[in-house]
Amino acid sequence: MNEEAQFKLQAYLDGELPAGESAGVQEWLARDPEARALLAELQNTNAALAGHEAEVKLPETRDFFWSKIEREIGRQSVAATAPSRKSFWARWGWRGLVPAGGFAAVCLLALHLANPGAASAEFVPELELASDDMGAYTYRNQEDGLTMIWLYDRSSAAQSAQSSTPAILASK
Amino acid sequence: MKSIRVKCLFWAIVLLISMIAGGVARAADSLPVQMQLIWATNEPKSPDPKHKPVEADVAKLLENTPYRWKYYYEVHRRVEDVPGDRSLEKIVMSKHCALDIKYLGNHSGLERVQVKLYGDDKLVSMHKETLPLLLAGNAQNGTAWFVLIRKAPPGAKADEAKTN
Amino acid sequence: MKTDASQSSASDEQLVEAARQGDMGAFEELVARHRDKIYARAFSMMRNEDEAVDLSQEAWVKSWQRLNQFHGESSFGTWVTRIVINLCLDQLRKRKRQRTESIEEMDEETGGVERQMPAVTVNPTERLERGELRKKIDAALEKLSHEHRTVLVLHEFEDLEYKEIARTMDCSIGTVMSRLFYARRKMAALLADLKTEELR
Repeated sequence: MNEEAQFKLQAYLDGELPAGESAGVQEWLARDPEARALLAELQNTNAALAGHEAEVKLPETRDFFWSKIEREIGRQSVAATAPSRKSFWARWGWRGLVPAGGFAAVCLLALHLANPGAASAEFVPELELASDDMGAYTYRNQEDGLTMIWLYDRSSAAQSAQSSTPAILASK
Repeated sequence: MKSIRVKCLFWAIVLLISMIAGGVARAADSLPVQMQLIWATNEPKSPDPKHKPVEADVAKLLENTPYRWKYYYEVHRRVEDVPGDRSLEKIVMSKHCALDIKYLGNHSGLERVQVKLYGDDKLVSMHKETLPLLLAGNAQNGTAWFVLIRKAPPGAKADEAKTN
Repeated sequence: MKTDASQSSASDEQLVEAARQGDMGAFEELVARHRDKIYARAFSMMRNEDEAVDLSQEAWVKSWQRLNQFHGESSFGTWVTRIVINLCLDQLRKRKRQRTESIEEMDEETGGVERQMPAVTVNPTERLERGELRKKIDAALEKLSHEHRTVLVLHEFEDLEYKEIARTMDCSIGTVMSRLFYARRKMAALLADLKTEELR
């Protein structure tokens, strides 16, 4: 059973199937024992979870917990109403903003002309796989700036000898 | 006040002209790129004595990824000046692996490339990504392959000659 | 502690109205009524007592500040629950950015081991007493990744539809379906005492 069929079965259980598709799923269930077994498992899991969330209580007394909230509300409302120092913009206002804005516009125009691809749109990474049997995970490590793309075979276990992903390394 | 505005306008025009000139020059740029085919394994010995463990900075980079192995061996390394206006000839990394790479320019300080990965002469995938880029996948017996593509560090061309 | 009898007998709506006028006593009563539920939701998502206390406290402060945005489309308790869920998700996202993803996390969208697992045909919880079942479910939830746990909590305990979960978790409906499916399959395996290692 492929993922699409599995998710359809789940949507049927959750009442999220588009109108008119339920009859098809029921017919499928009637003739496929594997689908019935999976549906039963999903139903059992749902039934187990329903109303059985652990009862957890806040480990602090009413007074103590409330005192923290009250203090925080007080602190934030004082911060919100405190007079701030007169800012640069308050002091210089539109007088400074107009020429600066004009200058910024000229710079942007220059950037656009110098590098149209960069200025016109965000760079969007692209990935195309040669085969539908293949999949890819993308992982980005912000620290190193590294993008890793892990290519895998959807149709079989990744380590399978029948992998449809072409070999990159010679076998040992 | 008027003279200040005139001065601002003058400098803006100077900036504009220099940026356009820079952009034209950049469009024709190429990028030195280093490509490494790496074999990852948990075995302490490479089956091929020619394979050398990867350098410390590469090992660190690989260890920071979600899929980890104990040992990383460099199978092959290439350093090429990758042009922006066309793809290079296919860069052969091994009997089974080749790359087709094109420089797409600098975007917000990041170098972009288009990479086509070939396995056994068949196109496997096409990527438009920023560098450094690591393509990877499973190999046999629980090992893995990696192709690390990054901007060539200084002296990379000389190192390539020594390594290969 | 304020134990104003009129407040303890007032409805949530009346207390909300009073709190909007600046009555801190009314708001304290609301906190007292719903604090366990809000904390429990934060704990179910974070699985850490201190973080859950801090986030539930933050949710209460935010709900005070946003009282004017509460228009009674849902109950007050549900409204504050949504606030704490969003705070927890923000926290989990921050936490995720700070560490390297693991293989298990990569497996999340595609199911990992659960992809190949045969259906658990026997109901593993059938003969369990209620308290025992709760403990078992709690232990199983503890073992799930936060993405799987969150989607289960939102769907099973908060009764959210796929599209509402997608909006809350800032992902596609397809991702919700995938996460929910594999979260359920993992739960089934855990409740049947199957360890993922045994399935490899």
